[in-house]
Amino acid sequence: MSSVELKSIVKKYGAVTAVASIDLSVESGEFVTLLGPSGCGKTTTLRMVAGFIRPTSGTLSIGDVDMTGVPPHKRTVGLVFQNYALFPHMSVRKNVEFGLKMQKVLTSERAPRVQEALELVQLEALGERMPSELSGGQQQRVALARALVIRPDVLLLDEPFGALDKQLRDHMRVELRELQQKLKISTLFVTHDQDEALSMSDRIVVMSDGKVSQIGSPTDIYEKPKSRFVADFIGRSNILSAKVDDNGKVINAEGLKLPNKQEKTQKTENFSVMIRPECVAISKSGSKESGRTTNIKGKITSTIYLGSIIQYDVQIDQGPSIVVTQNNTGLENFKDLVIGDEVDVLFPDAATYVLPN
Amino acid sequence: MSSQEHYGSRLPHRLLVGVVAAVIFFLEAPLLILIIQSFTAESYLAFPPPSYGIRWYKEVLTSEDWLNSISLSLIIATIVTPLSLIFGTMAAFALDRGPKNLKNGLQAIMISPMVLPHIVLGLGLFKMALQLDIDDSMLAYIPAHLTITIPFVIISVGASLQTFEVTLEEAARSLGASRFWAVWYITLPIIRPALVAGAIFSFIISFDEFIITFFLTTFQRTLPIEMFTTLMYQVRPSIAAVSTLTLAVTAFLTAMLILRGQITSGDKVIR
Repeated sequence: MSSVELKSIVKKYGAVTAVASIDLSVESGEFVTLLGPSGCGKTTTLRMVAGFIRPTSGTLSIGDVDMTGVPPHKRTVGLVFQNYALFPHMSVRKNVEFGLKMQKVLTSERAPRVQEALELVQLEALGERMPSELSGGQQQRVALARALVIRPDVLLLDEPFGALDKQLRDHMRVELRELQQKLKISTLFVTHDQDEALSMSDRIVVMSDGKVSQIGSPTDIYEKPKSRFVADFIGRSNILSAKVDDNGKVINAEGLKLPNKQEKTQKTENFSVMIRPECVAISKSGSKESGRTTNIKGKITSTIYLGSIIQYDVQIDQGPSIVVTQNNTGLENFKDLVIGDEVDVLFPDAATYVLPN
Repeated sequence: MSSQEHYGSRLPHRLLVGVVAAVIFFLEAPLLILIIQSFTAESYLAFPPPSYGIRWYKEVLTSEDWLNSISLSLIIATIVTPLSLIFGTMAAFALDRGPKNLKNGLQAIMISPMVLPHIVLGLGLFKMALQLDIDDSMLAYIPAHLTITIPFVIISVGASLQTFEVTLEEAARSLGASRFWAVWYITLPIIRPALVAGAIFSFIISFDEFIITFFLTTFQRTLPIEMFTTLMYQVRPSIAAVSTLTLAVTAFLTAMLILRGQITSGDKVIR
């Protein structure tokens, strides 16, 4: 049974197409993320599931019931907004109780359910506070409790961590995922933050220009992107145009010659290869680490210190300039590398990925 | 003195203080004199009164003419206020949520009675009331007053809706509230200061209204009309007493308005 299913959903505003035929499903208990740049149609899609926007065509079902034309209040969806949208004139308890009151749950049943929801988000002590007396993270939790208390068929989250600072965001990310798995609640999550998408989702739906670019597990999306757009949007990557040389034994990427092991590709026409910066290793020419697999030389043209990693631009001899990142292990050999240094560049076989399109 | 920094030199600053003081004096002094005169014990208006008493208040509050007009004005204002609030709020919602391209035009039409010369408006309403044979009755006064009170509600509620976060209503709807109940439980309580302001404005304007009502009355007299007619024939201290009573009602409502504003903007922070 799927909790949410979208079939050929289209949304047009006059001549502008916001969402161009989307097929998508959220299975029971699954955490699905809509990921894409702003304006890609991800929020429009979420709002159609919530019922605030009516699709121009296509069908939408929630819990296997057709909900295409059903107004929001007759769908059981829990919605968490980016700005939380807590009712400022109601206490935390009243906020959480609101959904139960609207669904005409008996007064005697409401109190225990509100209590249960507040305990779920560890706010049982703050029930009498007003929203304005809470921190951002606490407000976020109230919004979550308010959405969960009605036991929705699906939980919808619209960039819920956008207003939090980084540390709190990382913390809430873990907390939300744990809660979601504990309750086994089907969740549709909208974000433009790839770290959030990769760390929380069962499946990621990458969107661009109102279309689905790729649906897959975080590993699939990151390691086997189907298109240049996905490869580019998720993580840093070097995307080089390439062709096959030497009877198919070598992939020539803008002058960078890499072995075509296990025949990664039989393509005869030009294609693109992706090389993730963290898969490449560099070491100072002549040092003891150098001289394995491919002996490719390059020169460092810039370095950026990012704390846990260091990012280098390396100009490959007779080849392209590529981005390389190395973990900051604290060992001096990386920190020693400066602009102008000659380096040996090592491309493990797995570093080269041929983009299907 | 820090004020010197703001006003450059001492002389323009003093001039400014002088002008402000003069404006306040000329605005408020006549009212003050009127209030003092109303407590005269004599049978004529004089300032300062030779002796004080509440003789004229007693007369006003026992005179059938005055009491009839006061109660007529109060009844009209009491009926007009809730109607004005309901229609004005509905109009403000329509303008806020309706098609954006129609908003400016419709708003201009709806609030135009506020800026139209009331004498023209009165003449128009008079002709219409005669045609419908409803002149000199509540059926004429109430719609007539509504045309000039509703714009105030539209403006105060409209301004409040502009800063209202629509996602709050959406949150309520996602929790199972229909559009109506979302507005009822969420929007209206949050914009309450604007509703209170709109209601008080409506009451004061209706209670004070003279020009338009004058066209519509023949035998009936609202308080402002009774005051005007009385003044045409004689200047007696009872006029001063009635004026002071009117002033007291208006001042009380205005004070409530100011107080409310402070309570709601200072106490609960609305994001």
